[in-house]
Amino acid sequence: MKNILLLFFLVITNNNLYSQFVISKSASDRMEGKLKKEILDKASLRCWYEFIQYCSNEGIKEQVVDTFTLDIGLKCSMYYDQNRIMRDSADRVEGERLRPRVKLIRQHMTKAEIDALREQGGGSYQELLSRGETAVLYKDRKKQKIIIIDGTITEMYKCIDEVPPQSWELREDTMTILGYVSQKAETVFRGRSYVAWFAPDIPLQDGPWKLYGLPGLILQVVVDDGLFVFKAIGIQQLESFPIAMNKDQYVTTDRKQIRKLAFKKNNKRRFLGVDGIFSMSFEADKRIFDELEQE
Amino acid sequence: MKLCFLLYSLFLVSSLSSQTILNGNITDKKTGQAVEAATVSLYALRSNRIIAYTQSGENGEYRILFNGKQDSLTLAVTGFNLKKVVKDIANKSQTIDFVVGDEMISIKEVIVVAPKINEVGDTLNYNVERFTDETDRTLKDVLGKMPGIQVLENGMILYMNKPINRFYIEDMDLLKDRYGIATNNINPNDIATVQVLQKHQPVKALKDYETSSDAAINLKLKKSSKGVVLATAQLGAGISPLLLSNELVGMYFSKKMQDMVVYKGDNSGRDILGELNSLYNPEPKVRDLDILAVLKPRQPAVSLQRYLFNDAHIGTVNHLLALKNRYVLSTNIYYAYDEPKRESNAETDYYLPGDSSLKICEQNVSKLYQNRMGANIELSANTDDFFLKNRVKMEGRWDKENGRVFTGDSIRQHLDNPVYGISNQFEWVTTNERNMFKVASFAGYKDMTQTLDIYPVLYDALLPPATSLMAWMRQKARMKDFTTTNSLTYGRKGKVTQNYSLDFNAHVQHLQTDLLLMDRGIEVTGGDSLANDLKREHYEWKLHVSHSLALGDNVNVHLFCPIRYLLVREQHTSHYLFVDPFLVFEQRLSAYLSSSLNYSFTQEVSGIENAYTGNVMTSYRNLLRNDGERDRYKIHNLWWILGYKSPFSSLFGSFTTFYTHTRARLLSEYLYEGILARKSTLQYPNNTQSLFSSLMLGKDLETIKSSFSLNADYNYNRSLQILQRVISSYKSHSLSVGGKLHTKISRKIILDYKIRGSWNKSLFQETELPVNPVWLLSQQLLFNWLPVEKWMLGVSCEHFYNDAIRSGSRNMWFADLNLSYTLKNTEIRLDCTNLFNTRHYISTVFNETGRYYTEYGLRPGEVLLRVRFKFL
Repeated sequence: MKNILLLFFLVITNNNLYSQFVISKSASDRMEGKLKKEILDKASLRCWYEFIQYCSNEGIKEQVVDTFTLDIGLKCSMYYDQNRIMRDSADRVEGERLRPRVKLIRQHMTKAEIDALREQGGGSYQELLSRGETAVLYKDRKKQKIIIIDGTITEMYKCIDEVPPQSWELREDTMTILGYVSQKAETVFRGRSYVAWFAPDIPLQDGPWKLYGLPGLILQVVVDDGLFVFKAIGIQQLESFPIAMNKDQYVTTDRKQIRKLAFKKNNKRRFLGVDGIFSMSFEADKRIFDELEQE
Repeated sequence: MKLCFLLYSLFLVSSLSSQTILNGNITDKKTGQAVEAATVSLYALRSNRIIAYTQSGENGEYRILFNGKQDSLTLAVTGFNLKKVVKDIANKSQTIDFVVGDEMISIKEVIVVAPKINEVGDTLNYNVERFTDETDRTLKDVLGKMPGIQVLENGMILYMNKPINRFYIEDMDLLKDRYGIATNNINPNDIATVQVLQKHQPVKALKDYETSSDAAINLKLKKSSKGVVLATAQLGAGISPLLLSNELVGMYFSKKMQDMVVYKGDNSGRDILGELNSLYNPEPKVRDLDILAVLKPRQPAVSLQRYLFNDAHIGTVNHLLALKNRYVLSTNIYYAYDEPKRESNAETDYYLPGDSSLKICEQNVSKLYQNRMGANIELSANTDDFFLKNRVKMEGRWDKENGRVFTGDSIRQHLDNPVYGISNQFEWVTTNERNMFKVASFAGYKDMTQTLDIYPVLYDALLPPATSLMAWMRQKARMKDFTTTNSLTYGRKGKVTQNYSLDFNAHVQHLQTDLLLMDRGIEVTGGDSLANDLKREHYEWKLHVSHSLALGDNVNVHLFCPIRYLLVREQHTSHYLFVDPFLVFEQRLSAYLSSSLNYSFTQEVSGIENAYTGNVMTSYRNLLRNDGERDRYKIHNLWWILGYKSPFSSLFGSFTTFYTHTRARLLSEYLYEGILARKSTLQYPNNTQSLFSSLMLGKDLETIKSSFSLNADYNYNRSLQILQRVISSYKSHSLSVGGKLHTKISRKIILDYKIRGSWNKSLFQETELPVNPVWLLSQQLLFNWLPVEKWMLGVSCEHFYNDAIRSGSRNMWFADLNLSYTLKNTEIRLDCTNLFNTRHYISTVFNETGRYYTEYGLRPGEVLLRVRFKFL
């Protein structure tokens, strides 16, 4: 098991040297999914959002679409990247598959070393592109605060963001989204203007990301005339699905620091495995994204 | 300052005076306890627009402030698992308490489905399930509906209007160039994703050295279809007269091994031989040279199934095995047999100077016996820094063809056409940090023998006199061809990627022909003017320098500059030195739009087909002879490709313009003596220009469950022609526009509509020949009705219009009917084709040399019942 932990550790960290690492108890529990969980609430509704943003990829403007999930309970909700969770579990399965053969893990091998390994025959080569959001947002509507959890297998960060409900101005316009008549509302939040469409027939005062406080679920949000768009693409009823947070040793930080951390992880990682010997390399994501929060 | 405060106070008071304050408490019906976090919304009376809202506090209390002049309002309490309570109230400050009951939250669910197309890096993923509906039987049907992808009649797949360069199943190249075996036999329900690998360089090690603008297709199978044997069988029988359509398909795909085995037999006009077509863009090979032919009419412009009188059997075995040490061994064997029959009446008008023309009327019956076999075995390894491939390919063809022509007399034709070929292709690439070495070699040999027998003796003036009435003419042609291409390449990566290669190519051909008289079983030669014995050696040494560089992030420039020294030895030896530059300018204009501008200049010399000087009877009414002059061409090509793709909006488009300017030294002329044609050449430098533009658009409209595509082509040609000793300038324009729509109108109705219209005009300048423009239109409507689950009824109607037909109807109509019933693993399908029993296709075609009128025999009305079942 130690080896597989080390493998994960190296996949995540970015160190040029062959070094020794000390893995804490909480980190190993985290990696094996053994951490105890705190149940914040039970969700009875799940809403999927498409989050559309633009980035500059070597000078070219590109559209990037991610799918987020919002699990809503009476008091709390949880907002996370559905694909990200799936991708991580796929990595995990791959890791499990390779586990019996793992002997030694190295990082940033030279081309000659990789060739030498390959000469020994066999081997698998993989490129993993970690895109999308790793942060999970827990929104406590009553306490008017949002807990942001983000980090790596080795270290987890926690940030408590005090966000009272946005002061929305209601408008008369309506639009049908996913079959729900939705009313328009506008606000300004942390330096950007938001146009939201909420459904009074879904009596949950929640919404995607840090947005909430309208008399119905927010189904669509257009930020700064389309610079960012949140758009509901599906709604599903749940039967008391737990909104759970790991009881972990979190490093407390503020929301600006936690965003910086998120951007570090948008890189492409490659790993080559030859008869249990693994090597990793990383390539930074060259794309430049705009930040949602300007303040 | 005081004044300000006073004004502000006044304003505050006045605003307070028109403000309504609503407050109250919300309690639970059952428990009587305060209800927290309930939403209290205030509406304009009985409208659905909220004008103010709040949330109840810990003790169930709420307070809403409202400024408005309405007389009455509606107040509603909603909440998580609360039953909605609504009260109409007067617009005045008051206290309103609510007692609310429980109600489980009930929401109209909207199920999220995976996106139809998504793009990750250079890979486009098409979600097969989202493109599949009840009408699809094979992968080919589904591919055609994916925006950006087209499937041509012959099975070739195009992405963005360009042929794909590889077809993989689970990242492995099992079928090579005969990927029609997969597209025609894999059930779309076994495939999860069709991936388009854009800019695909099949040799991984060459990725940074030789860029590719072509795409490849990769099929990702569903988990349930991997590592299991998939087998289906079909039994089909029908009448008019006896129709049979049977098949047996087995496949197995796993990480270590892939297999596909297919047997099919059919005489109902379904083109099963077409599944074995070779579909990759030219790989090195020895060219077929078919000089002799049994004269056949042009094929009709209706779907092949309407006129293919076949009796075909095909069998193919394909096996791939991943060996140790990253090597892959694959073998492909196929065999095809067919006996297609043709029947036609044709009228051909050849334009002659002045107002005269030569008319030939023929009634034509022919039957071909096709026997084809091929096999290849390949060992390959393809990693990031190493590539090795060795492929041995063998092919054999034993075709025989019988034909009868009635042109007043009855003429019998028989063609015997065996071809044998073997070739070996070797490629080896290795790379390290910055350097690449490549060795490529191809060697192939082909032996083609053709014998054409014509009875009776038509050209007695040419041949010695016959002593028997049973004498006939025999044209023999035998061509032996050895081709080899070899290259050594060194590449260096850097700011400017440089490749240097040294090539040696050789092409040795030997052509022997003889026109004989077969008199009482004895071959009587017709003399030297009716025979050829020609050896042609063509050696080429080439130094190839290529540079690629990136200008900024979005512009790539590639420059290729081969210098070729050519030695051609026929009766006499000639030397040539050619420089053939090729320039590519690629630009990424935005995330969706890309442009590629290309220019090339090449020089060629004419081949053996223009070198023989003795007469060859290529068909019963063509006697061809060259005057031995070798032509030399200078060809300028300029083309521009603009591509647009937006997977998010499922819109794909491409626009291509291709301009070619060819300068030749010789002008060919066909002279007609009776119905006999002779070819001669004239020293007359001349230019041929052609312009081809093509537009493709594909779009998927999710909201109305439809996909549509549009294709438009324009062709312009300008050249010089000699018509009976008069040099004349010839121009032609043709425009063709077509569209395709597939739409699921409701759960029960699926509609397919295809339309294509074309317009054609040819013009001779000096001779005022009577050439009128030709309009053609074809359209097909397919209506599928699914009245109850498992049943499907399809009605199809086809219409053709040809305005060049001078007598008879310009319109042709066809109708078909099909009924299918699907059980779990079984499909029963009844097809009634050609309901109007239309027996002939009539068409008129114009080109530079004449007008061709054809009446082509079609398949009669037929009924076929097929049962297809999955037994593994």
